[in-house]
Amino acid sequence: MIALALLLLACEGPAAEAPGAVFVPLDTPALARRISLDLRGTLPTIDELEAVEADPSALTELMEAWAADPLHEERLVAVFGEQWLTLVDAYNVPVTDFGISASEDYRFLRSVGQEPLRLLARVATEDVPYSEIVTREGTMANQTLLEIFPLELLDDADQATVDAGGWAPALYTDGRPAGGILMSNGLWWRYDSTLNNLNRGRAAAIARHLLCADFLERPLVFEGVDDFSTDGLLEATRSNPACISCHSGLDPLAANLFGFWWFDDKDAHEMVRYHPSREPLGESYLKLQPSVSGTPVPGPAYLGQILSEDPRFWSCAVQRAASALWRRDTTEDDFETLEAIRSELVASGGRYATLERLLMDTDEYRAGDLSADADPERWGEARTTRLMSVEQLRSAVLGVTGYDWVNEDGAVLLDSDKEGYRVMAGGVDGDVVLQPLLEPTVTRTLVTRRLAQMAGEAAVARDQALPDAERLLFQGVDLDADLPGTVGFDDAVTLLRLRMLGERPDADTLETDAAFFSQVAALSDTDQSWASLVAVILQDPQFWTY
Amino acid sequence: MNSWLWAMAEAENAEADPCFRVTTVGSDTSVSWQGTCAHEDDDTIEGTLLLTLRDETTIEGDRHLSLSYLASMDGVLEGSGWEVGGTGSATVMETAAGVSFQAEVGGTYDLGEGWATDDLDTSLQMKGDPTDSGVNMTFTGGVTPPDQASLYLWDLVVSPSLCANAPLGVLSVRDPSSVWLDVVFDERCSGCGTVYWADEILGETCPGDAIMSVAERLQLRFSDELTR
Repeated sequence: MIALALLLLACEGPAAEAPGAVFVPLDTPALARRISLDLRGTLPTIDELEAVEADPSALTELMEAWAADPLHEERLVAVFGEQWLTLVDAYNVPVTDFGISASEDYRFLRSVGQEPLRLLARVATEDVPYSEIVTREGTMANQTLLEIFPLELLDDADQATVDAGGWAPALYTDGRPAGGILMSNGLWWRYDSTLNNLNRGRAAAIARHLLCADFLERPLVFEGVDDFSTDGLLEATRSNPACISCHSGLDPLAANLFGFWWFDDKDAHEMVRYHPSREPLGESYLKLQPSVSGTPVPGPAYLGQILSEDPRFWSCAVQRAASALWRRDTTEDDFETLEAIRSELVASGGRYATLERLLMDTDEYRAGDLSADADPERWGEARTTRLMSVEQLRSAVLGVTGYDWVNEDGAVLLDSDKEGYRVMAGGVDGDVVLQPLLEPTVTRTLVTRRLAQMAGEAAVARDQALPDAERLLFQGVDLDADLPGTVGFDDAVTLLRLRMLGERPDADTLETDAAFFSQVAALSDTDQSWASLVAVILQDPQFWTY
Repeated sequence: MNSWLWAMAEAENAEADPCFRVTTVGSDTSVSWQGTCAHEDDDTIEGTLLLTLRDETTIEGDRHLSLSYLASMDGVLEGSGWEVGGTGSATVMETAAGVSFQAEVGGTYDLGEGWATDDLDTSLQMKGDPTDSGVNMTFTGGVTPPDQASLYLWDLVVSPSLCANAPLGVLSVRDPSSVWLDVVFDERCSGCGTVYWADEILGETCPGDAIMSVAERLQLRFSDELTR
C-alpha cells in the first residue's frame, strides 16, 4: 500500500530536476517505456504511450496491468536466468541419452535450464511470499520435462497448457521433499558435483545466489596442506586455519544436498532422480552435521525454511532485484536505500511484486540523466540509459514485428550459443560468460543489424498479408498508397517511430525518412522501402536503449 | 547382467563386435563398452560400461578376487527392459580364518521398463569378516528398495559372535514426510530397537529377524561366488 502511494506521488507531475537532486528524471513516456521493457520485455503500445502523454498518472494503472500480464512471468524467467546462470548449452548427459532426437537439443537444454527459473518466476508473480522459492512443494514442468523426469502434473487440467508448449506446476514422484528450486533437477544439473567436491560447489551456489555470500571472493591459501588424499584433505578442512575459513560454512551446507548425489555423474538414470536414501551420506562423507550458518538442519525437508529465515535471505533478494533493475552491481553505498526497501518488503509480506515496485520507485530507476550536482565518484556507475538485454531485444522486436529469429529446429538464435548468437548479442551463456553486456559493442551491433534487417522484411510481409485489425506495426497504413509526399506517409512514420522509439519524429526526421524511403524504392519496391525503414529504426540506438 | 556381458564379450571379442573391447593390463581384464549392440533374439544393450576383473591373486597365502564396474546402460534381454546407472566393486578374500569380503554398490538399478519407474536405489557398503563362530556382517549406506521406505545403515553389525546375529547399531528409516527416524539396536541383542526422532524416543520396533535374514542371504551369496 505504501509502495502504491509512493508510486502515485511519483507519477503525478511531469519530469523535472528537483533542486539538489542527484538525478534528472525521465519524462513519463520514456519512463513507461523503461518500465514496460522491465516488466514484460516489450514496448508500450501506441495507446499506452498516448495515455501517459495525456495523463502521467495513468502510468500507475498501466504498471499494475503490466505486472499482471503473462509476459511478466516470461520476462522474469530471463531476468533470473541472467542471475542463476542455468541456461547453459550443455549438460553431463546429451538429449540422445533419453531416446530423443538430436534435433530437439535446444528444447531439451532450455527445458532443463528453465525449470528453476520458471519456479522462481511463478512464485515472483503470485501473491505469495518470495521465500516460497525455497519452500514450495513441486516445480514447474513442460512436456519435455514430463517425459524425462519423474514428474506428474499437479492438476490434470494443465495438460492442455503443456500440450500447447507451456509450463505448469508439477510434482516429482521420487520422494524428494518440498524445497522449491533447491529440489529442482535443473538447478543441480547446472551446478553438479564431482566425487571429490562433495557438493561443496553446490553449497557455494546456494550461498552466492540466496545469501549473497560468495565463498569464491575469500582468499585461497593452500599453504600447510601436505596430504592430498581424500582423508587428508578432509582433515585439512577441519584443522588448517586457511581452509576452515570457508569450509566451516561450506561443508555443513553441502551436507544437506546428498539426495542429489550421483555415483556416475554422467548417467541419466542417476541424474533424473532424487535419491532419498543418500541424504545421510552428507553426514557420513563429510563427517559433520548438516546445518546452515550454525543452525542444524534436521533433514533436507527443512533446508529451504531455514535458509529463508537467515537474515541475509531478504537482503540478498533485494540486492539481486536492485542489480537487475538498476543494471549495475550494488555497493556498500546503496546499503541505506536497500535496507529501507528490505524492511518495507518484509513488513508488507515479502511479495516480489512489492520489491519490484519499491525499486522502480527509486530516483535511480527513474533517472534519465545525472544532475549537475551529482557526485561522479558516487554515481558514475548509475545507468541513466540502459542497453536492452539480449532477451529484451528479442522480445521487443518480436512484440512490434512478430519476428523471432529461430532456425529450422526451433532454436531461438538469440537464446543459444550452440545454434546462434546469444553472447555476441550481449547475453550470458551461464558457463564462461557470466555477466551481460552493459555497453554496446561491434558484435552486438552486427547482430542487431542482421536481426533488424530480417525483422523489417518479416514485419512488412506479415502485415501485408493480414487484415488491418491483426497487424502489429502497420495498423491503419496502406503500404501501397501511403507514400512520401502524402499525409498518410507522415502519419505512418510517426506511428512507427512512436511505437519503436517512444517519441514522435520532428519535421526533419520525417523528411529524412521520406528521402530514404524513395531512394530504396527507386532501387527496389515500396515493400522493401518499408522493410528498410523498419530496419533502420530498429538499429537506432534509441530503440535498443531505454 | 555382468556374467551375461562377460560371456558375450568372450564369445564375440573386439574383432567381431565393435561395441566390445576386451583388454588385459597386468592382472586386470577389462571389458569396455560404448554404443548400441544388438544380439541374437533381439537382445540389445546400449550405453557405456567399464567392467574390470582382477585375476585371482594370492597375497601372503590369502586368495583375492576383485571386480569393479562403472555402468550407464539400458538393455532388453529376453524381452524385458532394464536400466543401470552407477558404480560397484567387490573384493572377496579367502584366508586361513575363512572367507571375508567387501562390496559397494552405488547407483540406480531398474529391472522394469521406462524412465522414472520405481527402482532399487543404493549407496550400500557391505563388509564380512570371518570369526570362529561365523561371519560378522557390517552394513553402511543407504538403500531404497522398490516401493519401500528409504533406509540408511550406520555401521550396522549382524554377527553371530556379537548379539547372536541380532542387529547392533543404528538403522535410519525415512518416513513419507522426509523425516528420518533412527532405530537404535543396543547390547540387549533382542532384535528390537528404540525409535528416535532427534533426541525424542518414539517407541520400539523389532525388525531384527528380517535384517538377519538379509545378512545371511548375502553371506551365502558371496561364499558361492568365491567357490564357483
